[in-house]
Amino acid sequence: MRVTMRIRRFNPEKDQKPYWADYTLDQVEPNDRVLELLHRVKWEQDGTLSFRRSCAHGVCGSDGMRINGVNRLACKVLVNALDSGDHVKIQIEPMLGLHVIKDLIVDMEPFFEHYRSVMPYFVNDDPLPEDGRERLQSPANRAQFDDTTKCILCACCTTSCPSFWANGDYVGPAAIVQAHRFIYDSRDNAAAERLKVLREPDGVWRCRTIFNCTSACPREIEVTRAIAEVKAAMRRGVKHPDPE
Amino acid sequence: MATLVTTVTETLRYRGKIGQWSWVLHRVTGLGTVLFLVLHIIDTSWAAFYPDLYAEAIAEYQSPLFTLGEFALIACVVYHAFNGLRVTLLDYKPEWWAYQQRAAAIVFGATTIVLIPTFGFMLSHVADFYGEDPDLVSVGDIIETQSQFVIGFVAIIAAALILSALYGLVSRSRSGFVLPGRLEAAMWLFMRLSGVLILPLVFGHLGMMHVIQGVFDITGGGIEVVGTDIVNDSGKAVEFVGARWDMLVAGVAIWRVYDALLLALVVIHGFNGLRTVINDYALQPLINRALNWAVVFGAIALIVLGTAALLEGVDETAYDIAVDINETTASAAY
Amino acid sequence: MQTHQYEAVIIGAGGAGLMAALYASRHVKTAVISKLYPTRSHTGTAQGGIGAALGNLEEDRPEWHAFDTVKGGDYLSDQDAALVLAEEAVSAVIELEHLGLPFDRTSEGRISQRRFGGHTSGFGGSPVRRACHAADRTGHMILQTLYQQCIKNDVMFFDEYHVIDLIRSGDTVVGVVAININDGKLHVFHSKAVLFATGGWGKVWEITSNAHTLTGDGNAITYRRGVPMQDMEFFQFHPTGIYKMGILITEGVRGEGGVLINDRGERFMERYAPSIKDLASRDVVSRAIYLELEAGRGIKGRRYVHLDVTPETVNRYLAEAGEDRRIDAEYIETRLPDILDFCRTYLGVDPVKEPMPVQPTAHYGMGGIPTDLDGRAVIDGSRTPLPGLYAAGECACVSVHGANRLGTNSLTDLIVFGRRSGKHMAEYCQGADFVPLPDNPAGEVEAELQRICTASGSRKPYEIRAEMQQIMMKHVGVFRTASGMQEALDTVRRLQEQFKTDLVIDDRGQRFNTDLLEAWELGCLLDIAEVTAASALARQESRGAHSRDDFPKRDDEKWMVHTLAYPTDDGGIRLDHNKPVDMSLAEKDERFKAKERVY
Repeated sequence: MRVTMRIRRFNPEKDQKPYWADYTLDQVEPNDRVLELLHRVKWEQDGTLSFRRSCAHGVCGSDGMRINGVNRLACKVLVNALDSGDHVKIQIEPMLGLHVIKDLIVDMEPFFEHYRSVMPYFVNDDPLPEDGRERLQSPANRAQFDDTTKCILCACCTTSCPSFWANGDYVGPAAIVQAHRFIYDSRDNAAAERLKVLREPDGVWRCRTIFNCTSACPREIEVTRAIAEVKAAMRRGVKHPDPE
Repeated sequence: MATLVTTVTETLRYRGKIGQWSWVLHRVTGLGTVLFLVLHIIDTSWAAFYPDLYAEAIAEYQSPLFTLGEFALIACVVYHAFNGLRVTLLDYKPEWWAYQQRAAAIVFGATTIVLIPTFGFMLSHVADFYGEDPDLVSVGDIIETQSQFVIGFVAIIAAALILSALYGLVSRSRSGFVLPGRLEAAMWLFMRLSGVLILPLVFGHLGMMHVIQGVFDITGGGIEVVGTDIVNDSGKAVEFVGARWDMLVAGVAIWRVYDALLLALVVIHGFNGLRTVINDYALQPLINRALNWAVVFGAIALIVLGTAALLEGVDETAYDIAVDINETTASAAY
Repeated sequence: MQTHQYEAVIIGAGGAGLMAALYASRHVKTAVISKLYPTRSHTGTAQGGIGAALGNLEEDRPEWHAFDTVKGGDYLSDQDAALVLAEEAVSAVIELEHLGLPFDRTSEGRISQRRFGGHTSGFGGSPVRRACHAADRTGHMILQTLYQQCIKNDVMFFDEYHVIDLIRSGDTVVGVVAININDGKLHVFHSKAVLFATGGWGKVWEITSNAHTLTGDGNAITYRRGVPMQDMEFFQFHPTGIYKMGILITEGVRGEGGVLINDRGERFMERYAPSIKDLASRDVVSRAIYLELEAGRGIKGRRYVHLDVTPETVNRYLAEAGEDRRIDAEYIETRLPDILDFCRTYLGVDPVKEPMPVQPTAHYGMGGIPTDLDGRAVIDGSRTPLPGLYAAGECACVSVHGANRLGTNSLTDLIVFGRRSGKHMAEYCQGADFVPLPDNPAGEVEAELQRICTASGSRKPYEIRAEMQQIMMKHVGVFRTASGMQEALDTVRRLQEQFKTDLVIDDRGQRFNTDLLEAWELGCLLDIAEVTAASALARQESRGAHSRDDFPKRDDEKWMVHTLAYPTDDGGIRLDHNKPVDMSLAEKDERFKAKERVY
C-alpha cells in the first residue's frame, strides 16, 4: 500500500516556525510499524528528519509522539491499526506540552524533573533481615502495585493531559504513577513524604479525571485509577491486602 | 508550556476519547450555571430589598432570550449533575475505571432522557404564556439592564487587578493565589460532597420553579404557589417569593432553610469550580491573584446578600411597592 | 570546548553502568554519560529472569550454577569468573531486592524463580528453578530500580551525551570525548578512570532482538585506541525471535512449559536434546531450528517454526513427562504478560490460543573488551591491565559466558560485575592522581565528525548498513563456512572503504543531528563486523555459538584459548590466540573438565 506521512517539522536552527511536510512511501506492508515508516523517510528521503527511538518494540519509551491525533509509541502502532486501503495518510507531530527541540524531539527535562520530585525510589531504612535474605512480601501485597511498575517513562500520558498542557507545573500522570508504585509497596516507608509532595497545588488535585492518560498509555497502565488511588491514600491512608 | 490559546485549540484537536469530551462539557456546563447563579441570587435578593426591581427582572426572565437561556440552564445543570456523579463515583471506586467510558455514555443518555419530558413541561408553560400574546420586554432594555451586570463584573475584576498589582509591588510576591495543600484537599472533598448534597436540592428547586411552575407562573394571580398552600392574590412576583418564604411547617420556614442550604452549597461549589478553571488557565501571578480574589469576594458577597435577603423576607409593604408587572412592561414599551 | 573533571566516568546507563555508578559514587566524584535517557537502555528489554541459586523453590547451589555456566559456555568460560558469577549472584539478587526491586513472590513471600534453558541441578541433572523474575519484565525492573537508586543518591548524569572517543595519555586512560546531542558541542571528560558499559552490537546483523542504538560504540572506541576485542566470533543467536522482526520471545516461555514445534507437528527438540529438550542451551536450540528449516520442516515451508505455549499443548507434554503441574490461560497472562502483548500487537497472534512464529535472532555478544574479575580492561594474553580503563556488562568479556551465554546470566553478569567494577574503580580513583590531558584531546574525532558531515559521496549510511547486516546474517550467523566468512569479511572491508571515501548524509546542522550520529555508529558497526568475521574465520573449530560446517567438531587440543583482536597501524587486524581459558575449577574438580556437551 501507499502511505503519505504528514509530519510536523521544526528545526530552530533554520525554521522560523513549525510546518507540515508530506512524504509518500510505496510498498508499505499493513503490519509495518509507524517507526519503520519514519525510518524509511529518514533513510530514503530526508536524513534531517529527527526523532528518538531505541528498542523498537514498546519497551524503552523513546518514541512517544502524537500519531493521528493521539499519543502513541511509533514502534507500537502498526499501519493497519490506523487505517486500511490503498492509500493511507498518517499525521505525526511531537507530544504537546514539552518544548520542541527539533522535529519530533521534545525537551524531556521538565518531565524528568517532575518524576524526580515525587521521590521515585525505594525507601526503607529498617534493619535488613538477619538471615541476609530478601525482605518478605506476600503475592497479594506484591500484586497491589504491579500495574504501576510497568511504567517506561515515555511521557505519552503526561503529554495527553489537558491539565498538563494548561500548566506545565502540574507533576503529571507519569510522576503520580511512579509515586503510586512506591506508596502501595508494602515494603516502602516513605509514603507520607510522597503524599506531602502530591498534596501541593501542582500535585494530584490538578487531575480532572479526564482519562486521556489511561487511553494514551502504551503499557496499558490504569493511570487514572492509580491517580485516584493516590488521592484515596491521602484521605484514608494506605492499606495492604495482607498484614506484614 | 503551551499558551492558553494552544491549550484550548489543542484540547479540541487532540483525539481524546469520551472522557475528554465529558470533561470539556463539564467545564462548559459548570461555567454556564455559575453565570446564571450570580444573576439569579442578585435578582432574587431584590424581592426583599428592591421589590420594583425584582418585578422588572422577572419581566425580563419572561422574554424569549431568557426563555432560551432557561432551557440551556436546565440542560447544563442536569448534565453537570450526572457527570459530576460519574466523576465522584470513579474517585471513590478507582477500580471501576474500566466502566468510565460506558458511564460517560450513560451520562449523555440519562441527560437526554431527563431533558425530554422536562423540556416538554417547560414548553407547555412557554406555549401557554406566549399563547396569550403577552407584552414583552424589548431586547434593547434587556441589553441595557444586563450590561449593568457586565459593567459590575468588569469593575470588580479591574479593581482586583489593581489591588493585585499593588499587592505585588508591596509584597514582591511572584506567586499567584495558592491554597495550602490541606485546604486544597478539603476543597476537593467538598466538591464531591456538596455535589452529592446539591443534587436533590437543585433538582427539587428546578422541578418546582422551572417545571411544575415556570417563571411565567410567578406572576400568575390567584394561583397557589408551588410548595405552599398560599395563593398569590396580587399576581405580583414578590408575593410569590414572599409566599414561599413565609410558608411554615411546624413553625419552620422550610423554604428559607431550603434556599439557605442551596445558596451556601451552590455558591461555594460553583465558585470553587470557577477558581479551579482560573487556576488551570490564568497562570500569570498578578492575574491569577486578581481573579482568585474576585472569586472569593464574589462568593462571600453573594452568600451575604442571599442570606440577608432570606432573613429580611418579603413583607406586605413590598407587595404595594412592587410595580405591577404589566405596568412595567407597558411603561417599558414607551 | 567544555572540559569536565570527574574522578570516575561511566559510559552507558544500563544495568552494569548504573550498578557501577551506585558503588563508585559513594566514594568518588562520578559522572554517568549516556547517549540515551538511562531508562531507555536495553537492559530494560530483558525479560525472563536473573539467574541466582537462591533455592527458594527447590534445592540449588552456586556450584551447580557455575557448572551450568561453564558447560553452557562450551568450556570457553573462564572458570574463576564463572564461580564468582554464581557465588555473588545470590547476594546481588538479594541486594536488588533490598533496593526495592519488585520480584514476583512465592507463597511464602520469597523471590519467585522459574526454569530456564541450560540451568540444571546436580551438575547437569534435571532443570532447576533458578531464574528470579518479575513477570517477563525482569530487566525493566532492574533498570528502573537502579536508576531510581541513582536518583536517590544524586548520581550525576549526562543524558543524551554520546561518547565518541577515548583519551589516552601514554599507557593511561585519562578520559573521553562526548558530543552533546542536543546542540552538537563537544565535551571532554577528564577522569582518573573510565568504565565502558555500552552494551552490545546486535545491529551488525539483519534480524536482531537488539535496539537500534546497540552499535557497539564502546568496543569500537576502545579498539581504535589499541584495546583488543576478545572472542568476537561468539555471538549468540537466540532461538526464539518473532519471525522477520527479531523481537525477543523469552526463554521463560519454554521455562513455563512452552515447546517448539515444526511443520509436522513434532516437538523436534526431543531429537536434539533428549534429556532437557526445549530447555537446552541457546546455541543448541538455535542450531536445531536452523537444521529443521534447512530440512524443509519450517511451518508451511517458510523460515520459521512454532513456539507453542497454549495450555492444552503445555499440559499434554506435562502429563507425558509425568508432572503434576498444569497451567491455564490466566497463568500465562500473569507470567508472560509482555510476550502476549508483543504477539497480539505485532502479529495479531494470541499465544494463549495459537502458537507463535519464531526464528533465531541475533541477540548477545559473548565477546568484548577483555577484563579481569574487577572489571579492569586487560590488554594481552597474560592479563595485563590498562590503568584507568574498566568495562562491564555485554561490552565486556570477563569471560563468564565463554562461547555461549546461558539465559538469565546476562542480568547476573551486569549486577555482579557492575558492582565489582564500581567498587574497584572507587578504590583505584582514591589512590590515583589525575594525569594531565594531552593537547587537543578531541581533535581527531572532531575531524572525523567534520568529514562525515561534509562528505559528498554517493552512499547513504543506511545502504551500507543494510548490506553489512545482510552479509553478516547470511555468512556469520548460526552456521558458518570459510568461504562464506571470507566473503563477509571482503564485503565488510569494501563497505568500510565506501564509508571512508564515498559517504553522504543529509543533515549538516548542529542540533540533534541523528543523521550524523547514525553514520558515526555505522563506522563502529563496520569495525566490529570486520573483527567478528576475521576472528570467526580464524577459529577452525565449532564451539558454542560458533558453528562451522567445515570444522564441525570442538577442538580442545588447539582451541581452549581466547581470541584477542588488535588493530594494526596499517588498518588491519592482528589476531592473538595466546590467552588460555582459566580452568581453575577443573583443577580441583573433575566435573569441570571439558567434555562433550549433551543436554
